[in-house]
Amino acid sequence: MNNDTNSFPIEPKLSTFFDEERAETHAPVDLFDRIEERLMEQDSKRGWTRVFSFASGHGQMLGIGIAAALVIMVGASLVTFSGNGFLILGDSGAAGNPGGQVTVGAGSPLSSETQAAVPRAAAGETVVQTVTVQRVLADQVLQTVVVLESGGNSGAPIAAATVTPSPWLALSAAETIGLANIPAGGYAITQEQYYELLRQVLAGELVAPLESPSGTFFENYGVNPFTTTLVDPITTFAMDVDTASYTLTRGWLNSGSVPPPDAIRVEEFVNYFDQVYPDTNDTFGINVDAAVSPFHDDGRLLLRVGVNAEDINVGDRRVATLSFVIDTSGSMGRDDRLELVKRSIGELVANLRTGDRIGVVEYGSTARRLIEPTTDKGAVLSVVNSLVARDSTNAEEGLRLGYAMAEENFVPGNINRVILMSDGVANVGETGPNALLQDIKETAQDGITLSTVGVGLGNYNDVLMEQLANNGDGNYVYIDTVSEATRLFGNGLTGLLEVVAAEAKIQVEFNPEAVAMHRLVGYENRSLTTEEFRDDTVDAGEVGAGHTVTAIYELRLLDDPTGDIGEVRVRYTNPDSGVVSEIALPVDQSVANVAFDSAAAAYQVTAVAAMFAEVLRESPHTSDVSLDELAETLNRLSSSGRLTDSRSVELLELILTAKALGVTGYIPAGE
Amino acid sequence: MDENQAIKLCQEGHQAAFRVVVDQYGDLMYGTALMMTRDRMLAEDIVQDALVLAWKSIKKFEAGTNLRAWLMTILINRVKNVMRRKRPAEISSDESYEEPYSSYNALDAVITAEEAVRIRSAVHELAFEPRQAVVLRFYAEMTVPEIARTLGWKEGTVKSRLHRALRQLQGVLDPPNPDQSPAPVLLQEEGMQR
Repeated sequence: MNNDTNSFPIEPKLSTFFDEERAETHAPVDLFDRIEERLMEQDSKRGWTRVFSFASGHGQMLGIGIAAALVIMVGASLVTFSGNGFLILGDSGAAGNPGGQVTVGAGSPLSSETQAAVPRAAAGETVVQTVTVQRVLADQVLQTVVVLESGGNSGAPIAAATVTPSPWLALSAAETIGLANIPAGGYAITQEQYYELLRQVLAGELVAPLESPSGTFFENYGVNPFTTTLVDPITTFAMDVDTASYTLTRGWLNSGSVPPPDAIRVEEFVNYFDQVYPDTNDTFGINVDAAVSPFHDDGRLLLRVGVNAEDINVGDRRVATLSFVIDTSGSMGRDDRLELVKRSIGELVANLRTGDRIGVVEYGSTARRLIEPTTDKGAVLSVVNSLVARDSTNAEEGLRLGYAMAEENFVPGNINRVILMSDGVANVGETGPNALLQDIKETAQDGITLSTVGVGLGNYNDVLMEQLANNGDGNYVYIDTVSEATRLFGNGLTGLLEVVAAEAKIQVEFNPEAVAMHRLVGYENRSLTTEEFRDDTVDAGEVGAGHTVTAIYELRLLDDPTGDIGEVRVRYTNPDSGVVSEIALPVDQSVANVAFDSAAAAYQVTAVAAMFAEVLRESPHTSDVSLDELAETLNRLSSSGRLTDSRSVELLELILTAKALGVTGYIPAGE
Repeated sequence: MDENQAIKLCQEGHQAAFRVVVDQYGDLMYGTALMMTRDRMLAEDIVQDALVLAWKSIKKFEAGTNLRAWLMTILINRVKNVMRRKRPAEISSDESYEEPYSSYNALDAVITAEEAVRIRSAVHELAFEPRQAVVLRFYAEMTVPEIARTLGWKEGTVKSRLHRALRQLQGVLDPPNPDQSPAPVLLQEEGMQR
């Protein structure tokens, strides 16, 4: 045998064998998904990624708590700590003391001043003490607990505890020590309970439940990730013209609370603003512009894709029969909720066209028909103005009665709409919402649609209000002020009632030769598959006359992009004829030739609104966006006389309010 | 998107861009792990671990250098870790893997399905160290210097272990036949790039 290493006769066969093996061996097809899943799990253990939904009824209180928590943590971020154990980040009782490491079981970890404050609060004195505790395991922050306590007139100490990442943990903590219900201002606990709470937190005995509790008020639909164009160049979503999330947020911020992140839907922020697209004579016009984001440091483009529906004159709108279903349960008596309902209907009545009819159903624990659909505006107003809030809620009975009214008064070819006005549908009878939602969906196909109008912030059920309107092929709006009522039911009434396109969808296909990665900002719960775009049986969005639908995309272009950025496609059904149409607009690279500061004012405002929503919902893609920069953009527009729209001015105020309330957005782990 | 751009985006923290890396090297990494462990489940775990680790250390990767070799180094370290913790008896070949791929049944195949099964089992019967050398050389098509760096051996050690491994395989599969002309292909091409 030849001893030369190069001459084993087996080698050709071996070589062929390995070639074949290589060609036939494949990693699991979902390898990347599995890796992504593992990385996500690790992220969620790390601390700041918010995983849990808010528990029902406590949103407002927790909103305040979170704001406080973030402020404190920012203030205490100089404290460094590694290893395992517990750390007091701050104790307002210890002046100038940044906190320090705590040894479990070595007596109270609190400063003597904080300890002394508890009996003082118990004696009725007003004290405010703040303690922030982190539990750290292997350098990872597992829990952060903030305890705010203050005494009040009640004579009992009051403490509100909240925990990041999971506010739910605070509730779990409260329940552990026997506090089932937490009032708006916090909950009353005794000194013993207070220390028991701290002890349990410090001892790591409190563990967040893995699933969010039932009956959540807001649903977390997640945040769209960046997608590699090479892997998936296409995004598809149903159009959405709702604006409720923005007006709800305005209500929260103006009442001094930070909205729960789950309440933020970016698209409803974006669509609140006037986009000033050129009028179109077709059903839809498509508009695209882009600029490099001044808010991020990686050169990403913010692409605005907008669709505007043709407008029609009030006189050209179809005659409508509107069956109002009005919540008169006890909570509607709070604040000025019922008053907003009355003002809204007053505004609407003033803008009706000849032949429109209005009927009213009210519901508390039972539902009653107050007035059958009539053209007599005076009669309607006198019925509505005499409404008083009294007892408990039976929304399902109210809705069923409203639908019965609409069906009895159905006029083919006209607008036949049920309009639910409520401060939140917490439940819809014994059977749960699914049966009702299904009925609403079927009735919408027969021509009776449903709009939902929200008022009031307390026990507000955003999820169901939105689902009801989605199933009913109508829209979902939220009214926080009289001027919002005027906006929606005055000028906006035609668009609210007259649908010009049904099952409307947008698809954007990016060119992998030009776009490295893309991310649709928002529309998470409107997302459709690529195939569903041309499947005309899929339920999508209804768009009213004059409405605009706008989406912001974040794009990373290739270093050397070639060809178009992509193509925007719009597909919809004519609600009268049932004819399906599809239009498309190629987007070439020149759309991005403009500097952000010289882009259209509406573009800049929209970009700011989208980024503001991203910060509020703690999107991890926005960790380098600061509220200061957003405010500065609007200030600059304002000082150059380009900010003429009162809504944009108000946006600036809201951003400053959010900043004052301590909103910082997403904070990456370890920072 | 090319590899360099993907790496750049990964280093900026865009996890989605990592898919380009996984799609490009996942099969090779999995196959290498499978050749070394002959256990599909174990190979899947190893590849996942290695890629998770690669993602976490992606900022340490020096742009423009050999990504393939970098990934293989991470993979081999995982393999060595796992194999070190397990006794040979614990690593059972899974039976489905004993079946030859159907491509070996093609009429024009240089080797038959029966030969493929014999080679596969002969490779697996090699001791762990020579097996690493053979798999990296012939399956992952790495050069001797690359193998030396990846395994932390001297180049001479790589060569001698490859030589012994080939002799062993030759002996098992194809008893020496002095009349057969030599086929000096594989080991000469040490500088060969894929």
